[in-house]
This record gives sequence, C-alpha cells and structure tokens, in this order.
Amino acid sequence: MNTYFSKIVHTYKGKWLLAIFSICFLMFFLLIFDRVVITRQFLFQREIQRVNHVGSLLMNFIGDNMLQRDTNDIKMIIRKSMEQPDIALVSVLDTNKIVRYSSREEMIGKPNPYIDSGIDALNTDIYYKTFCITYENNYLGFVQVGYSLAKVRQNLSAAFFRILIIEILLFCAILFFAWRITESLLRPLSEMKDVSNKIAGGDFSIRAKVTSRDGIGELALALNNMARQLGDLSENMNNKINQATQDLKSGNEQLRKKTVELEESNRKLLELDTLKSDFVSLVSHELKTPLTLIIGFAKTLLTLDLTEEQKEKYLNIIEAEGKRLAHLIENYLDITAIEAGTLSLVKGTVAMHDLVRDAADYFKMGPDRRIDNRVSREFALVKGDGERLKRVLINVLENALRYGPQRETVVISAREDTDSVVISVVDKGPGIKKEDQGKIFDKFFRGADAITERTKGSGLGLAIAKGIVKAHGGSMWVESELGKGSTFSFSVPKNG
Amino acid sequence: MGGHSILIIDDDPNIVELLSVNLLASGYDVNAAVDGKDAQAKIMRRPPELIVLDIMMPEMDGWELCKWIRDDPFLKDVKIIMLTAKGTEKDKLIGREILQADEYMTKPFDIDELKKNVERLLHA
Repeated sequence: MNTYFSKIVHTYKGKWLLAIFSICFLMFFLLIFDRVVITRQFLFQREIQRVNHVGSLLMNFIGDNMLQRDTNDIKMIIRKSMEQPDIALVSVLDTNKIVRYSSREEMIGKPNPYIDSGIDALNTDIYYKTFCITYENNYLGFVQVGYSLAKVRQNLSAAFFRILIIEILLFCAILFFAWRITESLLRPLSEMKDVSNKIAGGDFSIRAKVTSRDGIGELALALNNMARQLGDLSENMNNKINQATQDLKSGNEQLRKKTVELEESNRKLLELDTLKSDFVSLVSHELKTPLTLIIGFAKTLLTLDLTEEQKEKYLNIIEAEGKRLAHLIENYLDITAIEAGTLSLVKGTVAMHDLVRDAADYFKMGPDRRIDNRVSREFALVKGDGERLKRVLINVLENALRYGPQRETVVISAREDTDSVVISVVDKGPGIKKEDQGKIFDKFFRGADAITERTKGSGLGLAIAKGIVKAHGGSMWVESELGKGSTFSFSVPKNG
Repeated sequence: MGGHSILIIDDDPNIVELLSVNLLASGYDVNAAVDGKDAQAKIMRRPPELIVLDIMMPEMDGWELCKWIRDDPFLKDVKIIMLTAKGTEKDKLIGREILQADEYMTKPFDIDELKKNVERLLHA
C-alpha cells in the first residue's frame, strides 16, 4: 500500500491532487472549526441571554415576595420557572448562601453546593448563574438558576454534523473538479506526449494543438517548432543522402561501365593472346610442310634412283615449295610492317590481267585447275606495288581455294570505275556468317567452325590483303551468304 | 615386289609423293589416301600393316581416324605412325591416350628417320 501510495504521489497528477487535497482539507478544517466555534459562541450567547432574562425576572419576583415573606408565592414562582424549557434548577439563597427555597426540595436548609459556571460552561450539563436580590440597596439574597445545556449541545451537535456533511460533500465535489481540472490541464501535456512520441517515431509533420497562451501553450509552440526544425533537418539530410546516393549510383554506373569496358578489353586481349599462340603453332605448321618437302625431295633426289620424269617433277616441287615459303615469309613480314605502319610500297605500273594471271599461276602447281581469269588483256593499268598486289590476290585466292569445295571454279573478274579498278573473286564455297563478315579481315581471325578447325591457315591472309589495299588507298570488302559462296572485292585507285 | 603394305594418309599430295617414292624404294607396298573417308574405304578393303597418318586433315581429324582404327578389333595389329607439327599439337598429344599410335613424328621430319621407324615397327 505504501509503495502504491508513493507511486501515485510521484506522479504529476498525484502531487497535484495531493496538494489540492491537503489545501482543501486544511481549509475545510479551518472552516469547520470556525463555523463550529462561531456557532457555539452564538448559541452560547443566546442561552446566556435567556438565563439572564429568566434570572432578572426571578430577581424581581422573588425580591418582591421576600419582602412580603410570601413563601407560597416564591414557591409558585419557582414552580412556574421550572416549567420554562431548559430550566433545571431554581434556588433562592439567603445572604449566607444557605438554600431557603429550591426546585430541589432536598437542598433546602443546606449550603448551596453549586457554584456558578465559568467560561467553559458549554462542557457542563447545567449552567449555573447566581443573581443578587436587592431592594433599595438592601442585599436580600440570591437566586441561582441552573440552565440545562443539553438542548444547546444537541443543537450544536446537529449543526456540527450538518456542517460536516455539507463540507464533506463540497470537499468531494471540489476534489472531483480538481481531478477534472488536472485532467484537462494534463490533457494537452498528454497530447504533447503523444506528439513527441510520434516525432520520435519519425513523423515530423505532426503538430501539437496550441490551446492556451500560457506556459503549456508555449510548450506546445516550442514542441511544434522543434518538430518543424527536425522536419527541415531530416529533409535536408534526406536530400543530402539522396544526392550522395545519386552520386554514388552514377559513380557506380561509371565504374560498372569502366569495368565492362575493361572486361571487354581483357576478353579481347585474351582472345588475341589465344589467337597469337594459335598463330605461332599455325605459322610453324605452315612453314614446315614446304620445308619438309624441300628437304625431303632434295634428299630423295640425292639418295634414290629416279626416272627423269620423277627428277623433273621433284625439282619442280622443290621450286614451287620454295616459292611458297617465300610467299609465306613475305606475308609474315608484311603483316608486321602493316601493324607497325611501316609498309612501304614499291610503286610501278601494273597490268591487271598479268597480275591476275601470275597470281593464278602460283596455284597451278596444285591439283586444282579451278581459277577462271576473266580479266581481259586490255584491262586498265594501275599504279601500284605489283608484287604486293599479287600477294593480295594470292591471299584471297588461297582462301577461296582452301575453303571452297573441290570441284567448283573460282572466278576472278574486274571492272573499271572512274578512279579505280575493282577486282572481284567469286567462289562457291560455304559462305560466311553475317556476324563473321566484319571480322574476317581481322588479324588471326579464322572463323570458328568445323571447316576452319581442320584446315591449315594462319588467319593472316585477308588481314594482309586488306592492309596492302589500304596502303594503296583502296578498300576491300566481302559479300557473302551462308551456303551460297562469297565474293571478295578490292579496289585500287588507278593513279596511286 | 610384295612386301609389307603401308598406307599413307595425308591430304597434301606432295607429301604423299615424297613418302611413297621413298618407301617404295625401300621395298614396301605403298598405298595412299587423301582423306579420312578414302582412308577408311581402303583400310576396309585391304588392311595395311602400317599406316602413316597426318593429323591435320579436312573432314576427318587424324586423331579420330586413329581412334577408329584402334577401336576395330580386326585392326589391332596395324602399326600407326602419326605426323604432327610441333607446338600445341604436342601438348594435345600428351593429353590424349598415348597408346593410340605407335610412333610420333613432328614436321619437318627427316625422311631417313621415317624409314628407320617403319623398319623398326614392321620387323619388331
């Protein structure tokens, strides 16, 4: 119970109510006290007046009768007085205070036992007062009146209880109102508490109601101000965070793009690397066959007994393979020069028909007779590097022959434009995929299908061809459709 | 003159010529095929005792052909010499089952060495 009480007392409401309670209590206590005291005094005064009134009447009556020694009258007066309400005793005393006449017969003849009541008379049951009986300045005796205070006291009690009850009711009413008032006082505080909680929860737009122009109203204003500031701050921070996030995002985006670019570069580098090592093995392979043949046949010619026909055949093979080696080596040297940009052309006058014929001748040593030279003899002369242009044709033809089916013919034709000559090589091979058509002139590119995997080739031929054509100021391209063959064309400016 | 039968499988006719002329001079019975299909046909008709096989060929890889030969129980006694180029081929070589072929020669090869290997394999 104690802890419960102390808990209440420590609340604002509790303190408030306790204070009001204490004040009310004190006030009421004082009021009651006051009222009671006043009432007592009032009543008391009234009774004293009555006693005095009765006393003075008796004084006169008895005074008269004592003179005349009319005992019966005195007794009658006493009797009559006793009939008055609240009179408890009437005694007539002589000058020696001996009772001569009394409403209480047993007192007659004895000294008066009752002394007058003093100030605290209200606490006694009977109020005694003695009056002097005098006649013409003669002191005849006394009359003592005993006045019963029972009724007064009863009245006082009744009044006291009445007051008490009223005061208690008032007290309760006031407490009730005090309680309601604290409620209404505290309501804005409680509301503000809710608002504060909501603000703490992140809602900066909420505002407390300002219902008065006092301290509580000011508190509400302050709270609202704080909420507003927090809101602004939060918005600021949010904006900054958003901005930072945006920056981060765009930074990230850029990073991502860079990473993608890097990955692409990496991939290309790796690709190139793989192609290079493939190249190295292919180059060595390409060079080895002619070498094998040259050395082999040379040895054969030296060690075996051969027919004249065989001898001639083998010597021709040696020559052709030697030339092939030369071509291959020239190719490799050229690609290096093209890459380094140091390719220097040996310019002369080139007759296109002869050029094509010589290029075709290069292949005549093989079993295929599939090159159809449709460039007429009268065809235009071109200023260019004959040897290299021949190599361009040889490279293109090599491709066409290598990848084309065995029985089809490769057709070479030319046409003359205003400023340039365009040579076209048409084959009926497997054609080139659309996605590869752009890459086919790339160094090392060899396509990625079954055919290229099995054939020999370094992937340089077309790259070199294009490089040489470009060095002349011309261009090179391919038209092809899968399954329908390809047409490789290049243009050479007529006047270099 | 009858003798051991050798089949040369290479798409380059010059190589075929080179090998044929030399092996014939050594007294062998020499046949040639220019690609895998041709080779298979000829092997089925008359299984040779020794095959000289080039790895790089159009349409049928030398390895494939080798495996085909090895898988056939009737051809288990056929000797195989494989011609390869140096470089990654050799690496592939090590990766594969080395028991496929009986001998490996890298280009450019010495014709005499080839003859010696043939000799050794057929008279072992």
